[in-house]
Amino acid sequence: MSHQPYESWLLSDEPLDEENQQTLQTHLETCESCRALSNALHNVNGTFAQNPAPTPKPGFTKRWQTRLAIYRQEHQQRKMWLLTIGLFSVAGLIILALFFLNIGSINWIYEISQVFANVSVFASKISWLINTMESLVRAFPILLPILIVFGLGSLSLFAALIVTWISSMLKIYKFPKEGVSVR
Amino acid sequence: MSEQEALWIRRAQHGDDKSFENLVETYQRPVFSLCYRMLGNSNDAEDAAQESFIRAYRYLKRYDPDRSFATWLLSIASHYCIDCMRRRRLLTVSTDALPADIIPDHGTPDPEKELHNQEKRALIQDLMKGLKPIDRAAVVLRYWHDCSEVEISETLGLTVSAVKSRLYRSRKALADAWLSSENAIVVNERRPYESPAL
Repeated sequence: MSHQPYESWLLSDEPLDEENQQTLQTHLETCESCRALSNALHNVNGTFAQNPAPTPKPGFTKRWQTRLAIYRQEHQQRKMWLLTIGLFSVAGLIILALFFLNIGSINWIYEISQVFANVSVFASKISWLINTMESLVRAFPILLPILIVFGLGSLSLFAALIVTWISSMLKIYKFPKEGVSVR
Repeated sequence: MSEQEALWIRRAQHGDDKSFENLVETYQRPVFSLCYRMLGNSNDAEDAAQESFIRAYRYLKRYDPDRSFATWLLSIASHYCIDCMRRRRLLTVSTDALPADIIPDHGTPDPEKELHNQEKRALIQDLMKGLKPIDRAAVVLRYWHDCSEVEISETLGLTVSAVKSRLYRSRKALADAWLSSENAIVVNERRPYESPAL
């Protein structure tokens, strides 16, 4: 038995005119398959209609505010990363451009000898400083513990500053994890 | 959309967070409901609803005030849920959908009524799990959000004829699923009376 157009009428959302409605009813009385389809659709519609809409747990807006704060923090971190990468890229490009523009006019032997000369000047200054310290300590032995305390204190302070700086940089640049959710 | 909501949207577009929070408060229920019907459990629905509001917040300046805000918001939520379903292959109901994780609708729930509702929700999810993500979104918008075919087409970015065809196909699939579940119940009821296979 053909189930068309009855099946289409049942499954369509379009309202039927009175004549077609009557034809469909007559068909449903004789066709078990279409009657089963009609009943099933009726039951599905009924189940949908009776089912109340689920609601979120209380405090949805509060949780959303927390999530928005996380989103903003992640957004800020992404911006910082992009800014840093952008600045480094621009600086790198400028250095490369300057290098390639001046490559013909660089006297390599002279430049390398300048580097060695600067290093030896720096080393001689350090040596002079150490000699001065030694003569001072020989003349005034009381200065030795003061110099040791001062030197260690300065080194500790310097180390603490470096650690603080690195940890704050890590915090700022910590890359956000995807799919962070707050419940 | 009321005058008050239009005002909140205008203010939120100019960066007023309090106004956007009012919109979240107003629309949390329909958005959560859509996400729940799409994803099948309240944890994923909560996550998707929250993310939908974050996306709405991000793209609020692109919102056209001539369009319905609810349609725009539901469009964001349904596309996010469709992506989730495709990504996580969440076409079947998760085991997270335990009755305990649904918060009752009213302050003083009737446990029997609540259990009945949960059974119905489980039945609906069971029926819907066979639908493709976009078909499922069309059915949810049609049956639970009373959207017209034109509104569904705007929400899902489809033509009206495509919406009609998807709804037609979905109704057929839902009816078939209902008939199969009825047959399964009949078979299960018969089993206790079967004679032992000796």
